[in-house]
Amino acid sequence: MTTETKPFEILLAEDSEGDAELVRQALKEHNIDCSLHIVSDGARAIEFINRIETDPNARPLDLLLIDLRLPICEGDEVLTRLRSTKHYAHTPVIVMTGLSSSAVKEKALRHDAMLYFEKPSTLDEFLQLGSMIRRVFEQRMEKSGHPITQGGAV
Amino acid sequence: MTLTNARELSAFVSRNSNLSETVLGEIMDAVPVAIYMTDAHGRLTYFNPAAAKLSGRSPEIGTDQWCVTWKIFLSDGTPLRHDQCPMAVALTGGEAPAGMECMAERPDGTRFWFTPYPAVLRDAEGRVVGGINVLIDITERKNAHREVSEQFRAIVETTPQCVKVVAPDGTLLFMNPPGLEMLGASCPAAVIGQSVYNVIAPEDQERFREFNKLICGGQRGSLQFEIVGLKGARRHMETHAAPLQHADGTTVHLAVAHDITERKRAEGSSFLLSAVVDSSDDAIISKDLDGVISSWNKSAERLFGYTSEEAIGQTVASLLIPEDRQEEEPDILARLRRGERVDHFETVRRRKNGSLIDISLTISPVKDLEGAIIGASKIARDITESKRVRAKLMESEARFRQLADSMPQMVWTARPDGSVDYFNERWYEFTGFGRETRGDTNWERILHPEDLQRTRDSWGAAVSSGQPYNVEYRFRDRRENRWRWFIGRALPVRDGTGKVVKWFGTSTDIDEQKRVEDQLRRANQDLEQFAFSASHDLQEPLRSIKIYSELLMKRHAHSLDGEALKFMSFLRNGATRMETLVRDLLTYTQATRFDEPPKVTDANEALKRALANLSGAIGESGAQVTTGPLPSLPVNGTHLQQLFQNLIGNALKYRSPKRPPAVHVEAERQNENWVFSVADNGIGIDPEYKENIFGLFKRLHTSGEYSGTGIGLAICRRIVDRYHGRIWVESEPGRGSIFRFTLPV
Repeated sequence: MTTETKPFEILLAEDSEGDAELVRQALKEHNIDCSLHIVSDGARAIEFINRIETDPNARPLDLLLIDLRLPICEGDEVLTRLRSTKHYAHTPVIVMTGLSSSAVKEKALRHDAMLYFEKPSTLDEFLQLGSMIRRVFEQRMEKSGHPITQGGAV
Repeated sequence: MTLTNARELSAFVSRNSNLSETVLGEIMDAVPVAIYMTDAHGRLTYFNPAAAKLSGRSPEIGTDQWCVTWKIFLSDGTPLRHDQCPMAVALTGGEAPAGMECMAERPDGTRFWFTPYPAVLRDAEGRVVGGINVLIDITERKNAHREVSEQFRAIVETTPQCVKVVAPDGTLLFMNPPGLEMLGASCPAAVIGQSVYNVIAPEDQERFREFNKLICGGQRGSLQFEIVGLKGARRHMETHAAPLQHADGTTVHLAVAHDITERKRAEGSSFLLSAVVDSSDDAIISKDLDGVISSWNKSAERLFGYTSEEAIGQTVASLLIPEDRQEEEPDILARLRRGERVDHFETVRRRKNGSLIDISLTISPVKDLEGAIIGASKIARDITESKRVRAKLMESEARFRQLADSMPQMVWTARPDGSVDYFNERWYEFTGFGRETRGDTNWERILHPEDLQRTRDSWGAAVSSGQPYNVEYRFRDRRENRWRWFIGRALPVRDGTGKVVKWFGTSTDIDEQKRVEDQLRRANQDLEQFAFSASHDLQEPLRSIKIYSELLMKRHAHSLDGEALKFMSFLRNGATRMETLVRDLLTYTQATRFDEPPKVTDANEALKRALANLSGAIGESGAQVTTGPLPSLPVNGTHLQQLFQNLIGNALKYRSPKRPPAVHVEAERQNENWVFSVADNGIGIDPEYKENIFGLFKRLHTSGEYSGTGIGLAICRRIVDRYHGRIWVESEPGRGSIFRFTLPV
């Protein structure tokens, strides 16, 4: 977990190290300046949410990236917990899933402020996740005025 | 002297006027018959004492004319003029009417009746010189006749029958009080003087008219007819009529009629009774207490061969009872004497031709009005046929039971009301119940409590509707002390009119089958779950392999040598191929996962979506896809789309290199199914592989020739199976293939 201060705080709940690395590559590809917190199971994701909800010094969360198929606690429970907090009831969430399945998609869309990302099987398509995250932050920035990128061209 | 001789006397005197007057005078003075003689002018020349006595006076000889002296009347009471007197008529040369009856009044006012027999006296030249008349006193007879008339009147007035006189034109001239009463007339004027047809039933008027004509024409006769009284009451009358000379010389109709309404009614009912007895199929015989036959209907004749003439008067014992059953009759007669009835007594009787006949007898005592038993009526029914049918039924039932007992299933029969009346041996073996328990609902005692209501309901529904019974339930197996699954089935047996007469049922142990089915279902579910999870989970590592090999190529291609690059390409191809396989496998396992009830799908829509997905391949191959009319049917839309997509996709993929592909899709209704066909002009399929091609991962070509995982047709079959349909291929290698599949209507 990083300690340096960045404009955006992202929590990634993903049990596949390969996919976590690809998310990091996608952020890098799109020059998104953020702190990426990675947890590998649902229980740790809930712990993280509980901590930032109760700790007044914690940096607020800007985005939850979550794979619904998580060990220990299902992603569904993590979302339920997030939506039940005072501060993060409307925080953007991108649900990532390995296979298109209407059941999973429906479950994901029941929760508020949700985007859906089906993990593709080509590199280029996967890196598109970065532009989706970027659009989310652009919308947030309109409210808070944070810069999205660490300098360089957009 | 008799009346008939009076005429001869007059003739004798006139012929023998030459006889000595003394002799003649002595004779004439002596006879007790009034005789007188006149000259040619009618003046009296002689009369005898009897004449003086009759006339009540002694007339002056030579001056008095006989007839002037008396007042003479005709029989109907009209006065007779002098010159019309029989003697005057005779003297003037006329033919004096003989035998006419006249009445005369004496000077003292008394009257007497007489018949004159005048004759003319002639001289030698034949000139009329005088006349002689002999008068026969008929007063006594006339008075007697009047007495008869009085008696007749008394009879007419007192008889309870209707006496009437009718004129030829139908006018009722007379009717006695009982007659008036029958007509409901309160006074004679209501009907007398009126037309008699006013009170005759319309349908009988013509017959009465004919009858009246006949009687008034001088004949006698009888007639039955109906009258309609003044108050509308109808009565049957029987009339006996004779002609009657009326005073005015016409002949009228005198009739005595009596009311036969009651008799008619009695006749009617006894006619009905005898018609019933005669038309009965059963022999109906009556006999007295000695067994002597007193009546014998037509069926008795038919059944036993004796005519009623032959049978009546004979005893039942001698005529009908075979030797070995003679003791029956005394017994029957004894029971009848006690007033008992014999009901449906089955026995054997002998026909006239000696053959024996099975009959059922019902005998009832017959009592007289005082209630004393005087005989018996006996109904005999031929039961030869029903005995034969019964015997046959018993035989077939015995055969059925023998068969049922040898069956491995439990077999039972029930009455139309649903109550079980038979179980075979297996039942008693399985349940351990005693054989006396059949007929009640003891099957419920071994039924699983959870299945009780459902089974009862099914059986109740079957019994009330007459539809076959089919239900699965558990019975307690006392030997293994556990529940076993059975399937209960029953079919109704109907008679000629469609009425259920019996139920035949079986109870078959399906426990093993049920367990295997359960296991199979669970295994299938596990397998599907496994295939789904496996294909899902296999996707993930594959994706990583693919993406990282890409990333490796993108970022580090410069540091790899030629051989490393070749291996990398194998790695990526393998991963891509495996990804396709896994994706198809997932499609296959998911093909029938949706178990929601299918909505009605328009096949045209499903085909349109399939063609849209195939648009790339269609454009690339230049294929021509044509369709016939397609139906709407209760099948999941995605399933139908997958079927079209796979089959048309195959048609494009296995196209002939010699010609552009042409695909035709159509559907045809066959009974309860739609038969879809997808026909192509591709390379075709060797008949040897016609069945194989629908197997999972079955491929007939190397991936070098045609790409694919061999899962498309397996998916098709899985979908069609799900709808209990069929899929097959007809093909001529080199010419093309027609894939057909059936789906429910």
